Amino acid sequence: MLIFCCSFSPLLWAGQLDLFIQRVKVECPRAQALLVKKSLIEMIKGDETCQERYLQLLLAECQSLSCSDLVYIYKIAKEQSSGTVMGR
Amino acid sequence: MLWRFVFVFFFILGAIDPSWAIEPEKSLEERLTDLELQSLSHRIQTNLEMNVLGGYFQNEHHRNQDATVRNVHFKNNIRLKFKGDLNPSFRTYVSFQVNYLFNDDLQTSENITDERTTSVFGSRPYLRTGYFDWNLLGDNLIFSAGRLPTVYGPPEHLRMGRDRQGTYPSMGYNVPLDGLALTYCLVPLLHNWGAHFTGRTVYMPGSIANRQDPHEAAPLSERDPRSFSDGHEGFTQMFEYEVARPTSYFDRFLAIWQLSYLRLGAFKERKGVSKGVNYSVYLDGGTLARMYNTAFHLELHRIFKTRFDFYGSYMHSWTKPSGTMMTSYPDFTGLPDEEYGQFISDGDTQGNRYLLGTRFHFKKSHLGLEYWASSRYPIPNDLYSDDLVALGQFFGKIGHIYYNYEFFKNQMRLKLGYFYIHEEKDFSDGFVNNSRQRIQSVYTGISFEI
Repeated sequence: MLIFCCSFSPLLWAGQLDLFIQRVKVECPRAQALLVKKSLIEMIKGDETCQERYLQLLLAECQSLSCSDLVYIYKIAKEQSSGTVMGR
Repeated sequence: MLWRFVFVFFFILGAIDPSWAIEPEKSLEERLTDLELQSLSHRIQTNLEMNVLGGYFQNEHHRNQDATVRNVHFKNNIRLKFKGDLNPSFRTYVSFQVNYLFNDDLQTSENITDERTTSVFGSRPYLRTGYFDWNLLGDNLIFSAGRLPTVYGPPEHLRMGRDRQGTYPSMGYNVPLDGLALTYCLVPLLHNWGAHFTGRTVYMPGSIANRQDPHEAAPLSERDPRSFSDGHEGFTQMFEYEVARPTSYFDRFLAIWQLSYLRLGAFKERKGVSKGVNYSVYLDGGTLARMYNTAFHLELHRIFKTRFDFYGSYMHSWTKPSGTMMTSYPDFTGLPDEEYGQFISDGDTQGNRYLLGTRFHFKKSHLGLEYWASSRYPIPNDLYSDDLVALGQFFGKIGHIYYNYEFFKNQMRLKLGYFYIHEEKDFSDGFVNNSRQRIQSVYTGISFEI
């Protein structure tokens, strides 16, 4: 039996960039989009310890987010845009 | 006079080649607009993965004979992936893969077939995935269709030190399958806590026909051209619960339960020559077998904030063969056809297979241990792997130790490993037979993604 969920989620699946920005904005609404994008670039380049400049700025801007939170959001966005699991 | 000459020279040069003239710098908005136009015109993203392995093998009682075979093999796996977003609600994914052993066809060409159960096709690429996801109700109901990502599923990604590469637990099914799927979130409120509870229903139809003329069915044999194969049909129901946000108990949790049914239709008649005698093998009915299996997979990462991961998979299967495989000898018209046997074994069979594994994390690497075991007659459906050998295809007991070291900011991995296979049964030509092969291998490999 299919269970139809009642809410229409605003988080439509999109590319990795959009997914990452949307999820960070949910956690930290005041984060500037340009700062989030530059932080994503640093994560794509392999920084998973948040040592790079813009990641540090983003963490300072968003006290509710930790480095492990950002890594989690990044990995989820990457997996969900990879096509390795159907329906994600 | 000289400076006049220089002035005239550059004046003339500027008239001939306008690029020498100084152009006004583009504004920031113009440059951003150029970038936006570029990204709109390049809507297909590509990704390349490569995995090269080499290993030393020793196989005692090779093919159940008192002979020990030793050799060295290198294997190359190359995966080219494409992703296209028509819009945020419609995405398509296509990937091609090549798995081959180095230079295995240098002298003698292997027969390259389309057999889906053969995971090493040689240097000819095959379609690994080719499907779309269509969000019908936001992210709460998604329709997928095509060649679905049913290979290289969990826990292959843990063994290889990378992100999850497939949907099904590999013990559930690890064969490329085409189908239609609905994925639906069951409790959307869990998203607020970084958790997902997802249901997935998959339908897998298949037909055996003349590819050029699909309106024509395939006869079972030349002797009986009016009997036809029933085709294939399968259903899978999956439930998946994942917590990807770190908690005090684990950094990540994944549990998958899957129930599958597959009716395999009769195969097309196969002809060959043995010791100079022509023969053909066919099925005396439209259905080869009906198979049921249930599989469960569990992963826990960094349990209680330690450096340990734990993972395990279990599969139980039931096989109900329908038709009987027959052998005929066309050169001997008076000779009756022989019963060759039924799929896996004569009569109904069942069996199980399980895997237990653990990983210990260092700063930039991890060490893993695995133990596999099977009993009775489990369906041989765990067939694909980027490893040198797909360990899931074996019946018996297997011990495996591996070490993955990540460098270049986790974009490349170096792997070392050893496995020992105590084979108790062997699946070939549609049957499970006893085996006493003892296979061990030391191997190494490099994998990377671009």
